Order: sequence, then structure tokens, then C-alpha cells
Amino acid sequence: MKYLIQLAILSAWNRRITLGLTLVAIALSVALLLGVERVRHDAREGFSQSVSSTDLVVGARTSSVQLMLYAVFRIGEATNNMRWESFQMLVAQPLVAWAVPLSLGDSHRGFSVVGTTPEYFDRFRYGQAQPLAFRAGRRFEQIFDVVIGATVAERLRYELGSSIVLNHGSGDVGLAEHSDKPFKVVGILEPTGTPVDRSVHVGLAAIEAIHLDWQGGAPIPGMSIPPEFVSKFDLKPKTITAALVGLKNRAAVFRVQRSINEYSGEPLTAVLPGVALDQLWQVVGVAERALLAVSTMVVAVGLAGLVAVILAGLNERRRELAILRSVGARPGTVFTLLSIEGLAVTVLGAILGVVLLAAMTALLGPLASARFGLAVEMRMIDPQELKLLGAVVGVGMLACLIPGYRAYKLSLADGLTPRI
Amino acid sequence: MVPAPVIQIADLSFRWPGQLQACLEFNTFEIRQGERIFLHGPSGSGKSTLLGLLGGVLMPERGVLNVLGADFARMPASLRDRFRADHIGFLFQMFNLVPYLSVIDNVLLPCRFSQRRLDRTTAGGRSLRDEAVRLLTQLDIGPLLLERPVTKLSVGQQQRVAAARALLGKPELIIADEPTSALDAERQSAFLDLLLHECDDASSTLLFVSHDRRLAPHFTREIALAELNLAQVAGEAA
Repeated sequence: MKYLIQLAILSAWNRRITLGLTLVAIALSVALLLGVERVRHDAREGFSQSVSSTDLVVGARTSSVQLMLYAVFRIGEATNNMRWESFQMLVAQPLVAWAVPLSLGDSHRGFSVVGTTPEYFDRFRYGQAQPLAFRAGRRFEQIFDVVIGATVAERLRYELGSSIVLNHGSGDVGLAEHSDKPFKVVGILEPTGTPVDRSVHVGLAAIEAIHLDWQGGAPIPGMSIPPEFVSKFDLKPKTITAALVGLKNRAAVFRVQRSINEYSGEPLTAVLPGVALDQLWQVVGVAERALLAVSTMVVAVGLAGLVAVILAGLNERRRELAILRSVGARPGTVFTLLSIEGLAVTVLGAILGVVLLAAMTALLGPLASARFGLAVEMRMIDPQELKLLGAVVGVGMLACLIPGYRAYKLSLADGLTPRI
Repeated sequence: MVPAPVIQIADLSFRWPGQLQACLEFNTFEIRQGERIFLHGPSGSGKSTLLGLLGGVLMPERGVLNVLGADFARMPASLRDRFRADHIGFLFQMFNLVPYLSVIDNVLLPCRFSQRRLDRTTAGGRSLRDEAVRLLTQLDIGPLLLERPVTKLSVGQQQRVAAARALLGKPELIIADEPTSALDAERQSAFLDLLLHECDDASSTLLFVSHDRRLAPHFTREIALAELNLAQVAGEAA
């Protein structure tokens, strides 16, 4: 057996160019498969960690998925707002530890504006309950102070002290501007890999202030209130979009959820973020599964290529196999010889694929993180990936029985004198 | 004393699967120890089939087929494979060597598959490699060529390496299938002399198959396969 392996290696080395190319193809396809699996895993991880330590997300009556979409991911818009009184009712609940209001709807050059309270920076958590951290500056204190996420700062090249103007509504073009009331950047957050990076945070009062002289989504003609005078008005919000709620006792979450859903003041929806994120992932997951299916097929193509290469080489090797038979090799030996070769190429390809993946994550990881907010880390293969790798090698092993079997049949038929 | 029979064939018939007519039909055929047999026959006379039968890779349909006392007609395939490795040295016409092995590794190949050949090779007290080198030197393959890839050798050199491989471990029977057809007349004769000499040394019986009857005088007995084979073979590839 030991000599057989040596023989298989020498024989493979003799055909190193074709086998080498096949090896590269398999390594690439394995790297692709593992890469997709890893990005998938990390995306899901990042997705499910976009909000943490929040027990309930509350908004006007809507579907839980939609509420999560606009309250957490800033995608789409709320059809209804909830009244400020309802929010105060929430805060007053004995089981509620804290509640942070969110007021959405405005944007700044494509990035959504979040009106909230300074408490937001204490209460909002992501990942494994990590708090928000400031890269520079501080929280908003004055009415026209703004704190921006890492991506906003980087993309728009804002620094502390930059002056920015908010748009009414969300989108990129054709939006009315709140140009009479410019804001000043007073804080920049560290990157989090969550929608916070793409958000512009202002105080709730600021949202009220910029809409003072507006009505029905447009400035009231002939009326303009200069920024100096806004503090003379009542800037207490009348409505907010959603609220993040933390409980004193997590075990009470379903009780509180039911009482919010049954609130008589107005129809409200309270969702558990974890559950809603899972539902949401079901929707997003289709694309992700399609990606995995495609990369699985790429691996299948790579393995089919390997089988084809070994089969194609078989005809030229009939003489060689006959010589081996003449010195005592059995048809079973020939079968083993061919199977070893295929198996070795598959295993080597898988190993090379893992190395390739590690190299790619090391090289492209920072880029992916910066460009797409995908945090792909360099790490050891986890059990899930090992299973996938095992499946590749298993299928490769089975596939390589085909040339082995063909060689077996050939050497039975050829005997000592191949008819070529 | 009459030498022991090496090959005994009686009432033998062989048919390729899927064919109606038998390809080989022998009444009796016998080769005795120490003989130098020249077997000649044109293409299609069933030479390859006979070699397959003698090598134990083909099974006769019926009849007696004894090689060195082993009853091939009743032996399971794996035992025939083992027996072939232990007792028979083969020499083919061209492309006789495994292309990715060096000269010395090609010669040592039979000893990798047969413990008996290994034991017999080292029986004289020499190491396996020394014995292989000795044999190669006898066949005019110098020590400088040992590690050379076989594809870098001339055809004549390749055939001598193949001969060394067939002879290593002194197998009782050497079967050579047109080993000289790729050589020119002068080299043919020189190669034959070497081969016969080494067979004497190893006291091996030689069955030499060729279509070139000019070589016949080198041997002790000449047999025409066409006369031996009772089957009317047509269209069968050599």
C-alpha cells in the first residue's frame, strides 16, 4: 500500500500540469464555497446583532417585520407614527427600565436622520451588548448639534465642526431642504457594522425645530422662523416613529408586549427584536441560499473536471497499467491506484482552498468591511465549515471511484497487451 | 532424466466474451524446463491471447492449463496474479517501462509486488539494489544511467532495462513478446545474445514470441502458432 501511494504520487507528478490546473480549479471552488458560507454566516451574525440588549421595539400598529425594517434598519418608512403620550405611557410602566424614542423620516444626502434623546448613546447596544463609542467629539447638547455614524463621516468626509443641512423625507434627489437651519457635527461614532454607521443622530427637539414653519411636508409660504428663535417655541414632540424599550426583568417580556399591543390609547405594535430578525432573515435568506447553491455547483464542476482529467489520461496510461499488471498488480490494485490519485487531488484541493480563503480574508477582509460593512474575520475553520469541507472530499472520493472503476475494467479487458 | 514441464496445455479452448467462435483451440502443447522456445505467428494468430492465458489474466473456457505446476484453469484470479508476479518475467515490444519511474525503480518493480521475487533476488547475499545494478551492468546499462528517467534512454537501452526487470529475482519462466521488433538487425542480435545469456544464468525457461523468423536459429525449438492453434481465427487483433 505504501508503495502504491508512492507510485500514485510519482504518476501524478508525471502529469503535474493537467492535474495541477485541476487542483487549482478545485482549490478555487472550495475557497469560493467556504467564502460564501463564511460571508453568509457573518452577514447573518451581523444582521442578528444589529440590535442587542433591547427587549422590545415599539411602534404604531404594523407588521413586526416592517417595524424592524424602519426602526432598526432604516429601510422604508413608517406608515403611522405613535403619539408622544403613548411613549410617556411606556416610560411610566412599572416593568420598563428605560425607553428611547426614535423619530425618523428626514435624511441627509441619502443617510437617514434619527431624532432621539442623549440616552440613546447609553442604551443602544449591538453585537454582544457592545455600547456605542465616540471616535471624536461628544453627544448632541444644543438643538442644532448632530452626531454622525462612521460611514457617514467617511463617505461625506465630515469632521467635527462640519456644517450640514437636513433634507425633508428620504431618498437622494428632489428633496426639499431645511436649509434655513444648518446643523453642526459635534460627534463621530466608531464603526459598528450596523445601520448606526449610516445614521445621522439629532435631538428630538431638533426634529421639531426644523419642521416648525412646515406643514404637510412643505415650508409654509411667507413664514420663516430663524434658528435663533426656535427655542422660544414649544419643542416637545407630538409624535415619534418608534421606541426601543428595555425591561427591568426580561422574563416579563411577553406580558409587557401583550399589554402594549392591547393599549387602549392607540393601536401599537411591540416586537421582540430577536424573533423579528429571524423572520426578516427568512426573507433575506433566499438570496443567501441561492448563493450557496451556486457555489456548490461550482464545486461540482471542479470535481467533474477532475474526473474528466483522470479519465482522459487513462487511455494514455493503458500501457503503463498493463506493465504494472505484468509485474503482479491486480485489477484491484489498479483501481486503488487511480482512486488514490483522485482522492489525493481532492484532499489537496480542499486544503489549498482553505489556505486560499485565509489569504483572501487577510487581503480583502479590510476592504469588504470598509466597502460593504461586511465584517469578515480571519479565523479557524468552524465545525460547520469542516462539515462542508468533509462533504466536498466525500463527494470527490465517490467521484474518483469512476476513473478507478474504468481503469479496473480496462485492465481486466486489456490483460497484458492493451489494444490501443 | 527428462526436465520438468513448465507449461502444459491440453484440449484447451478460449473464446472472447461476446464472440461465437473460439479464438484459441489447442490439442496439446508443452514446454519443458530450460527450453528456449521461438514461437512465431502472423498478426491475428492469437499470440496476445495465448500470452494472456499464460500470464493468468485470461481464463480458458475449458481444458488444461498448467504453468509451473499451477492449475491456472482452476485458480482464482487473485492467486493467478500472485503466481504471475512470483514466477514469470514479462518483456514486451515497446513502451515497456513505466514512464515516470527511474531506470532502477523500473527494474525493482517486480520485487515491490512479489515477496518471493524479492527473497530470490537477495538470496545470494547481495542487497536488492546491488543485484539490480549487477544485472543492469551485465546488460550494458552503466551506473550513470540508474537514476535517469527512462524516457531519456534510447529504445535499445529501454529494452535492456526491461530485460533486467524481467530477469530480476530469477523467475522460472520468461515470456518475451516481440522485444526486438523496434531494434535494427545488428542490435537485435546483440540483444538476443544478452537475453539468452542471462536466461542461462538465471536458469529460466524462455518463451520468445516474434513474427520475425530470422531470429529462430538462436533458439532450441521453433513453434508455429498457426499450426498449433486449431481455431480458425480471422480479424482478431494481434
